[in-house]
Amino acid sequence: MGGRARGYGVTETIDYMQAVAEERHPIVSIYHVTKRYGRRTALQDVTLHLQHGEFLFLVGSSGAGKSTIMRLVYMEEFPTEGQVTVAGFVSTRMKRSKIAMLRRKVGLIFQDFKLLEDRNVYDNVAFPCYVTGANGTYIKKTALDVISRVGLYGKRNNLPSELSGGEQQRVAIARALVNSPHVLLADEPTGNLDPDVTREILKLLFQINAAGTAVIMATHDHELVRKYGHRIVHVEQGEIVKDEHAMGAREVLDARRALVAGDPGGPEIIAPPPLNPETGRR
Amino acid sequence: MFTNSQMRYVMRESFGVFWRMKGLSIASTLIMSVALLMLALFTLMTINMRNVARSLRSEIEMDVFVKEDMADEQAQSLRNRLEHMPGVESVTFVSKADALKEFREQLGPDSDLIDVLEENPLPASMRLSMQETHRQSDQLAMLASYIREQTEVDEVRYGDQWVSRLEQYIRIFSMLDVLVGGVVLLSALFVISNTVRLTVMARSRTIEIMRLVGGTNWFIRMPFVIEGAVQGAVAGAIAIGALWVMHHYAVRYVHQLVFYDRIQVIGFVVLCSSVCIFGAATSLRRFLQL
Repeated sequence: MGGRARGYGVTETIDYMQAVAEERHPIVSIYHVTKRYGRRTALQDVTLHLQHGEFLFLVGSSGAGKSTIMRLVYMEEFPTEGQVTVAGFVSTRMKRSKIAMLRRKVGLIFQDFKLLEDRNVYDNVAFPCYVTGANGTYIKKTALDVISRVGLYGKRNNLPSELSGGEQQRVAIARALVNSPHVLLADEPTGNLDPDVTREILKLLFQINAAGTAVIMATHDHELVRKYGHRIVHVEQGEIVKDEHAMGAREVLDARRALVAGDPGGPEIIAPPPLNPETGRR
Repeated sequence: MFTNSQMRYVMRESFGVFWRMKGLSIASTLIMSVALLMLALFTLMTINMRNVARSLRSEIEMDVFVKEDMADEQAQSLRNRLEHMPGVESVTFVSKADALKEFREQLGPDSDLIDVLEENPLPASMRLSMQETHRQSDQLAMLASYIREQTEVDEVRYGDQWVSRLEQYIRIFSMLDVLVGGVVLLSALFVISNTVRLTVMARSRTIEIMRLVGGTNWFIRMPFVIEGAVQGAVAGAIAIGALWVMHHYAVRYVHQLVFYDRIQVIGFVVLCSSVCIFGAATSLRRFLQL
């Protein structure tokens, strides 16, 4: 498999590596994207960038276009107009056969968990590793490691049906993490969970983010996202209506680290003031 | 194409699923076997009917009666000419005495009736056996009329009514055979493709998740292809086995019944397997958004 193994074309790899070196390119870049389904316009001229290591809440009522944005990022859908770039993969130059390679760089979490009901926790988490063709020993080590990180080591042999909703979502998170993604997409991950479990899941996502993975979490729960002072992007009727607390990636990272390192119950973090749009400084 | 761990995974997935979904796998295999049994049974019946038709046709002969007063040289020259006519496989000379002997045998216990006769009334003849490709009634009629023109020939008989009736039956039978065969084949394919689609759909979630975690289309397809191949082969083997048992009993009553030879059996199983692979691959297309 050699040079082709991780799926980048040579040009894309060089572009991307330069961009990373210069911290120039965001990990996810949605650029003037319009998405139509027949006559219905799901997204209208949306531009949104996510930096390496950033945490972003995508907020809006259902049908606002959050899931469409998510699907564009993992390239289940392609823009009608505009361009989406994710970890060096460019939607306008994307071949169908490359989509699988992109998905290995993007971890996905859904409201309905999407677990394989007939397989235990370990098999569910190890599943993406087999897909990428890692060797057996590595798979075992990595999968068990990730399962420990989400706190389910003791239940690694249980079937999903034997777990609570929160635990099932942890399994899904572990599965999303097992291939060390550049960015984690969580589409309403707490939609089916009660408030306590929601907080646990959020904390887990913050920990993951603190370790350097960029995260986009879509939710309709405005109250929930207010508490934590992250960047919040409001989507309404297919348009971005507000982009709050757009902090530098590094600051977000520091804030997350502080939360994770500190009291796990977590006092709310006061977000730094937003950037001055003209100077780009605070 | 795949790494070792991927290959191991694919194999485990192919056979593991068969085991994990025992009920569905067994049911779908049995449904396929029944459909395939119908197909195999019909094909075997066709083969046997064609054999019957062929053996009936092989009895087609042409008797060329020669004139009473013919010299030996003339007979010999006629024989030479007949032998070189198109479609004639061999020529046997039946002398008057031979003809009487045959007649006696045909009469059996009543053969003493012949003794009443003062002289042998039966004419000598040339018996032509025909090549397999020249047993059609129009070919026979043309040949007969040509032979009749020869001076030494008195009469030509080949049971023309019988031949044309046989041909008519064979034609009707062949048409029905193609018609019914088409229906059986289509229903078998329909049943198999739907059964395969059901087993694929039962795992649509697995397919969806595989796509979401970055499985290439080939990697996703592989377990289904292998499973389809095995399931098709097993279903085909069950069908052939069941048919063999049926044949085993039927042959007690009709001894001439033939069964598939080894190559045909292998061909049938391979065909079943291929149909299932094809079915699985086409059912997957929808899920893989090709």
